[in-house]
Amino acid sequence: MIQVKELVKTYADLTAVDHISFNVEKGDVVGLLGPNGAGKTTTMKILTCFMPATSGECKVAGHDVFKESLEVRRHIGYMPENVPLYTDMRVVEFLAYRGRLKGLKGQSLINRINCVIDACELGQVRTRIIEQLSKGNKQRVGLADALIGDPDILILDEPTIGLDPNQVRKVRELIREIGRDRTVILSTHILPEVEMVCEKVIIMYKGKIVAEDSMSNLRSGNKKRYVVEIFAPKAEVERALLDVKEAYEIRTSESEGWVRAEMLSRLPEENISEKIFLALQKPNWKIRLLTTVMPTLEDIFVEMTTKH
Amino acid sequence: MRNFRTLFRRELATLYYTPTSYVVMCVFLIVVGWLFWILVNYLNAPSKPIDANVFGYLFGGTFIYWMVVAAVTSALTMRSFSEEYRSGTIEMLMTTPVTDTQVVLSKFAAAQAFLMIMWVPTLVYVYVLSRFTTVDMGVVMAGYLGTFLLNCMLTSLGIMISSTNRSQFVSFFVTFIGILMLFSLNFMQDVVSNKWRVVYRYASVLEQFNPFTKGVISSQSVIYFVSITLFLLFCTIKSVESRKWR
Repeated sequence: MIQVKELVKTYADLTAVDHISFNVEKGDVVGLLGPNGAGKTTTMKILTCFMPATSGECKVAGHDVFKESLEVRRHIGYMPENVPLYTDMRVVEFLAYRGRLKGLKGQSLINRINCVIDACELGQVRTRIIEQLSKGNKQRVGLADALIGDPDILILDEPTIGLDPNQVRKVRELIREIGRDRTVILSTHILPEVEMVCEKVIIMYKGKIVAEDSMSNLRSGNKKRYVVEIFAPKAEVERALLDVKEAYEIRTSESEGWVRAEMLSRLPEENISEKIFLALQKPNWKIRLLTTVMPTLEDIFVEMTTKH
Repeated sequence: MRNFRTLFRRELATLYYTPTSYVVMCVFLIVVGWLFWILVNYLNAPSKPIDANVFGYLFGGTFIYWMVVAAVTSALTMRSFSEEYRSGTIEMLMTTPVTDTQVVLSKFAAAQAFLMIMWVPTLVYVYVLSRFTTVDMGVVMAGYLGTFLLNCMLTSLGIMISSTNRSQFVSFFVTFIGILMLFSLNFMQDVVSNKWRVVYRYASVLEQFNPFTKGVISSQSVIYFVSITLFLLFCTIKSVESRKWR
């Protein structure tokens, strides 16, 4: 559905996007992840034909974004960062206007407006002036606008920024719902959001892609961490754990006499819990926790962005 | 064409929803009404020729007319692109299947339509005057046509300036001063050498508008206003496109 090849965008002396390539298949929900200034918004602006790239190739729904820009725009629904809207219009008027621009008319326009109003739960505010809406509802209007043309591809730039926790949850549910039958790319720097909503992640850092994979592959590629909590002197625990040959990157911390040690294993296929347990079998040492933790997206993100 | 119609309706509605437009419209009608009243009184004096035409003076004959036209077009066009840039709606607009040309032309046409609607109530003056004296309809029609062409030129200048920055106020002042400078070309004829005088005369808005005040529709003047309007609209389209060059 989206093919990006060696895309570069430079502003004067700054390279915002630096030779990135990725593919998004039909029906994927992809999270474009990265810290501020990583090049996510620039990539989205190029994909939506708002600005051209300096070099590279970019195809959306089989059309080149540089040469067949109007055709590409017919296939996408875009919600820009901060959701700019015509605040002097009423919700339903705004959606009608946007629907007409996206080629709808007559009864099909009315049906589509009703459909997106239902999907985005805007029924109660449909005749309200946009300026008077809460931030959450404005965000929903933005989402309804992105959906009005019934696009194959949805591109959402930071869709939950500035919302309160309840609104964030609702918007995420909505995106998940939408993602069932559409291709969605959403950019964010909120990691749990990607974990909850996306099947595939592209991590960008300083204009480059540092990781691109499905959530499960990313997680399994990153080794699980062993965690043990034990009542014993910290220095002795560290010494004892050094005897476990498979363990490395051992980090310890102490709180009220309890030592928490975290480590990785050199043998990802094998469970070394037993070896750790045996190494810590000393008189008067009390173990209260020994477990493995799968890496969170945050761990992966930190690892990827610090490695580069 | 459908997109143009949708955009045009939205632009025209924006002008009607904005309080600024109502203020501009009220001030315009008060000033033009007051100007008409003064002109009727002035030309009614026994010392004035019997065939003096009020509309010949109303359209382009006074300093007030030029100031009103400059202020009104600047105020109505200041928002057109500046506000879209400031609020970020330009991004939303330009990622729908519309062309830059459609967007520019719809903004121009909406501002022009609003201005035309603003001038409609002044037709009452023609009716009122025709009840007391004979009105030379040639002068009236030429006056309205001239005003329409002048408005086209100034509107396109205003939209072009608005497309270059994010501040409505900057757009207003730069357009207003730009229009005044355009008008002042007429007075510069007196300070330049003979060789250049003819160039200034042809370039002068006031000079080109002059035939309309006499009831003459000169092809030279029509071409002057239309060609400058088209050139400025072309510049605006390029200015909007320029986001792609940066």
